[in-house]
Amino acid sequence: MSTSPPPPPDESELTRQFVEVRRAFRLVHAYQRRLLDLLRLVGDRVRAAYPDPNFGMWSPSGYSAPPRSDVDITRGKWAWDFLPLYRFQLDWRSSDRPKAGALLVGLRHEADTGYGSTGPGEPDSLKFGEENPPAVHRTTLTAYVIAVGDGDPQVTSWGELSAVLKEKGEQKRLADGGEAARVGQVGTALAGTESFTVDALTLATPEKTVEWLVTPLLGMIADVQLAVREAGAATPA
Amino acid sequence: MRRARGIATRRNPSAVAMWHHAARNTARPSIEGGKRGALQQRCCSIIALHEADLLHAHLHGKLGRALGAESEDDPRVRIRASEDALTAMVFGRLRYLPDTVAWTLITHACTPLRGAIPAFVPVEIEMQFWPQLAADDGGRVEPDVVWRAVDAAGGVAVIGFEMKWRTKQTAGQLDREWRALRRAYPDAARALVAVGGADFDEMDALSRACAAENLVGLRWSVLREALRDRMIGAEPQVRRLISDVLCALDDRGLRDMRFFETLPSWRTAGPPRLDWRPA
Repeated sequence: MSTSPPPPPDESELTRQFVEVRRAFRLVHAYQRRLLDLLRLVGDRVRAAYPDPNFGMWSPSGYSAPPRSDVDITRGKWAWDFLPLYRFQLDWRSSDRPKAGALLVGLRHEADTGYGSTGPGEPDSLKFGEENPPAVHRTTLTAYVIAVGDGDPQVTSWGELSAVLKEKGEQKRLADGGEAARVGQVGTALAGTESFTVDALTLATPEKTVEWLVTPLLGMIADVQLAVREAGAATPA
Repeated sequence: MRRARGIATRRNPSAVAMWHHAARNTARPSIEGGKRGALQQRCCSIIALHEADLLHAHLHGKLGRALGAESEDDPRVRIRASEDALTAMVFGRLRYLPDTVAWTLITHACTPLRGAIPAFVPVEIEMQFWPQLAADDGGRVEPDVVWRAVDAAGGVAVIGFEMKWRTKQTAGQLDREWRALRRAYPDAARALVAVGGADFDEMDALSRACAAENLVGLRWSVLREALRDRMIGAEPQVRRLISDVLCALDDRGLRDMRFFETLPSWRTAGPPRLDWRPA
């Protein structure tokens, strides 16, 4: 015996919407499976070229990670907290905290660049579409690098170092005219950072991922480290 | 009678019986107290649980390294992280497949890098785990697995396998193993299989750097797909064996990686159908 109410008729709008919801979840799973595989490829390649950094951490960007199992998820939580891979970042780092010679390589994923504030509190996804329909936005991966030269940056976290470089760092070109990096004095160390963003559309295959993400990322790591060394050489003792 | 160390065939049940005897004794809790005793007890339980999977790793003294006798880490993590345990779990199962099935499955899944696996129809395959072969420089080399196959006319073909998981294949190691195979089996048709440890574009670089005459690559993900294909329509015992191998590969994330090019499109027309109705 069932006390469940009968489902609405097939032709109802709600029925169609639930079909869309089921379809959307299946598609999101398929997308996330591929996204994680892509990130694994990138991580493997980075670590093959630079063995020092180990996997550091991941975290959603702009909202919280899903809470522990003993937390009441019905109160005080954003629904976004339960879509952690929608916007998140992960990194590989040579040490927990910045120190001389340390390196951090990170990737930030945005499934929809249309995500943003819609007023106080939890962003309302249905309001994204009014001025920002999905078709005009992109799905992106941003690669970023932070490298520390000799000396002690005297900061407690990579986040703090990144913030200091954003505020005080200066864009510098390499001596050979190559790509720039943002370099600055942090504590007694020179440190540098740089990033670039690719549209996930360009990363359809492993070959394209290597061409458009891995190879430029490896080049950027070398450039940032070189920019820090060149700035150190140019700094009077 | 027990065969020479390093050699086992599926026609050698005595080795299995010996293992079961050892496992029964080993599986008893340690008399030592404290954490080490508890650890040993856990190790023994896990060994007993996976005794068939880890048979060859155990017989060849590989489990000590995998479990780390002095470590207090969870031994399951250590087993999962062990390349030798993976070798034992995968190729330990493959040796129970019919010879022709195992041979065809592996050889068809390989990608030629230089030369190829010789065309061969085996009537029996002798499968050796971690055999010690004499190297050109007077030392020893130890391929992970060597298959010595004999055909109906008495011809011999030998395949050496070098497995890599989480580490990279190196041309130097493959070269040494190739030369050792040639020295050990001068009259046989030979091939060396680099299993894992090289991505799609690294295989090319490996083929250019390695001097082996018949070098082929076998990606774990391709092996997994070949195993899945072979399960279709197979006899139940073959399906069970292959299923176990797939479990071992899945356990380590060694499945085919998928990329956005295969993202499905679910644009469908027409009203949706509900399969559920209240009673």
